Amino acid sequence: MNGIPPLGVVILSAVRHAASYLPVLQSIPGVVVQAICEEPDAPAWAHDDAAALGDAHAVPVLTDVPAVLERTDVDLVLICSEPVRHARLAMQALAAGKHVLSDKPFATSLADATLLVEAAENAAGRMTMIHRLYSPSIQRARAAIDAGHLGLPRSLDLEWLASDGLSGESVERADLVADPELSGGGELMNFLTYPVSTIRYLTGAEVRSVYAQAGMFFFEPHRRHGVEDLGMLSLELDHGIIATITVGRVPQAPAPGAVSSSIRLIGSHGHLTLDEGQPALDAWRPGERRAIPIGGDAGQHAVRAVIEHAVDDLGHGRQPLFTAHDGWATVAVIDAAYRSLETGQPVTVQRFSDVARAPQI
Amino acid sequence: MTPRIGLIGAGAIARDHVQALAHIPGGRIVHVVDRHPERAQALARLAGDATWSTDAASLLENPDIDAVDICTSPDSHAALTIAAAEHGKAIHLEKPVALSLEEVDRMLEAVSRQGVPFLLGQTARFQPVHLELASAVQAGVIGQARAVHITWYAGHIWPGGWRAWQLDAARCGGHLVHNGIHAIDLAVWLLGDRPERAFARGFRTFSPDVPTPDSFHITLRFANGALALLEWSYALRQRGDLLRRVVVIGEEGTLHHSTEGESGLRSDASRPVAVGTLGAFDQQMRHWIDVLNGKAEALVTPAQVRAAFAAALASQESYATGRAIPIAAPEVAL
Repeated sequence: MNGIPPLGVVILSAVRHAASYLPVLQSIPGVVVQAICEEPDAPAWAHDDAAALGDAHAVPVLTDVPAVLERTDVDLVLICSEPVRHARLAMQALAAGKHVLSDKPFATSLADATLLVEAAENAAGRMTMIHRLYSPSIQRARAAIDAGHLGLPRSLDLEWLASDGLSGESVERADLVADPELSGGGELMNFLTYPVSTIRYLTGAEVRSVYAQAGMFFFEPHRRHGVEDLGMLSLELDHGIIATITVGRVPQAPAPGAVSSSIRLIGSHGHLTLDEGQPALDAWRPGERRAIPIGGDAGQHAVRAVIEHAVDDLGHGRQPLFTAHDGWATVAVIDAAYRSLETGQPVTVQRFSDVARAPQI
Repeated sequence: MTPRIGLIGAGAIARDHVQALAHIPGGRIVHVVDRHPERAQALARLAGDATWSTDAASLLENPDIDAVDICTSPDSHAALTIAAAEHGKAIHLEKPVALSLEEVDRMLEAVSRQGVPFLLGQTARFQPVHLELASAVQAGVIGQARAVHITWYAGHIWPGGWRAWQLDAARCGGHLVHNGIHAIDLAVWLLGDRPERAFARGFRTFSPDVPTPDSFHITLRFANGALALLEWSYALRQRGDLLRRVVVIGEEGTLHHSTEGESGLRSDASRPVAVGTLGAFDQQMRHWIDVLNGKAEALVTPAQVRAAFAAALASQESYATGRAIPIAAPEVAL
């Protein structure tokens, strides 16, 4: 033992993605997952999920949230609830002085997002969120922009499509992404964080205007709940940058894996294409072709990296790459997309300065 | 009897048509009209033993002419098409179909009333990659198609410098019309319906004073709920650079093609070409000859012509106003 106390982590609700995040946390030296905690009034299936995960990884499962958040051996709270509880649980953890790593989306309404940013600003702990900005190809793209190779970015096209996965392969329960009572919306709410955070990260520009169109094309749970499974968006950013986003869940994305993510960026002095599934080996067997991503799956790499960085940054009191204000900005674009769907027209994206409460004097 | 074709307009596109028709049996260009005698004469020579003149009216009145190929500028399309239909000529018309929806309705009405074969030259449909895509969609490879994403980027600016006719909206209808129509027509074809709302944004790459955006994107919503996202950019840095990508998402799967995955020539002497687009004029002219000989129905239907053009006009208006533009259904079913 080197005398440095371990970083204690609690997983607060474990109904989404916790099963893939927990082993990553347990593999990081100096991290101890102290407990999984679920709210007492959460549905029975949420408690079942927590119990199953705890059993599988030998982690205690608790239900007294305030007591867990008071523990001095807990430094970081990872929130993996259904999306509508993200903001409230994050605020609760911040109020208890803990660092917070929340699953996406940051919040399911702009009002919640604003309250959460204000809570984060006044908290002793820091807050960040799961994102894919550490994906190797996105890091390379950012480096190319920072080096000046592309000149000034002028337009971006992002296509982010997940393949089905609703029968348990990538979504634990279909209603977690399709029932607005749990998800806060459809696949725009679920996925738009990824392309929007990438656009902001690559350009350093804010989204000003959003036009969105969407459809309920492919999946019974989405039709049953009246939410979109696919959206196509047109964005205008600062500096006259334009961007397009195709995002959603489709029967089969144009890639061998669970997700197809590609970007086309035109700059004043060059252009760049990016496919998160590349580079890859083509593996051929009779009647079968599959891709073996070189260096491993980009999504898994990004998740591991974001958790490792979060532990490192939050554990050392450093500002994480993705802050609460970044989270707010992604929710503002999601909010604008849904307002555009309602009106059938482009809408102006809210700025934090428009909605934040005036400072108390 | 091999159909006898009169060619009207002897510019660059007409030359492509002549070269394509030269080795396609079943149709023959016998006369070339252009208001510039030297251009008419030069193209008539290229077409073999064709005669030439500067007078379209007498060509249309000539009973020995079975069909016309109209390759003039868009502002003359309506008058020539209607006159040709009224003289009973089969018509091949270069895109864009016209400059206003009112003109298009009169043209399609004349074509319908006279019962003459009519093919609009939406050349992009005849690029092998798109013929293959449409064939796969029709064969049910991906089930019902619900969304189309088309990306066409190039390192390009129109020839002619500041004199380029493409910079003059009065002559070309605007960039979102005369080039946007290519991608819009593909979406109309692949999704099998009529766009009912359009929204567009764009930007000017090379000079803030260019009167039209060289780059733009269009989003369309179709009457059956399907969606399209169509990108067009000339802003790649190197002249001749090319990136083309198309994705069609269906209820059972997805089709994808990108020039990034194509093998092909890389040479200091030549910029890359999109191999999957080569030979489109040949395919288009072969199809028209089949239409003339009663072996095929025109691939581009009147309803699709109108739907795509109305969407292109709405896209141009959206770019100008910053608003999404609803597109009314045609008053007369086509």
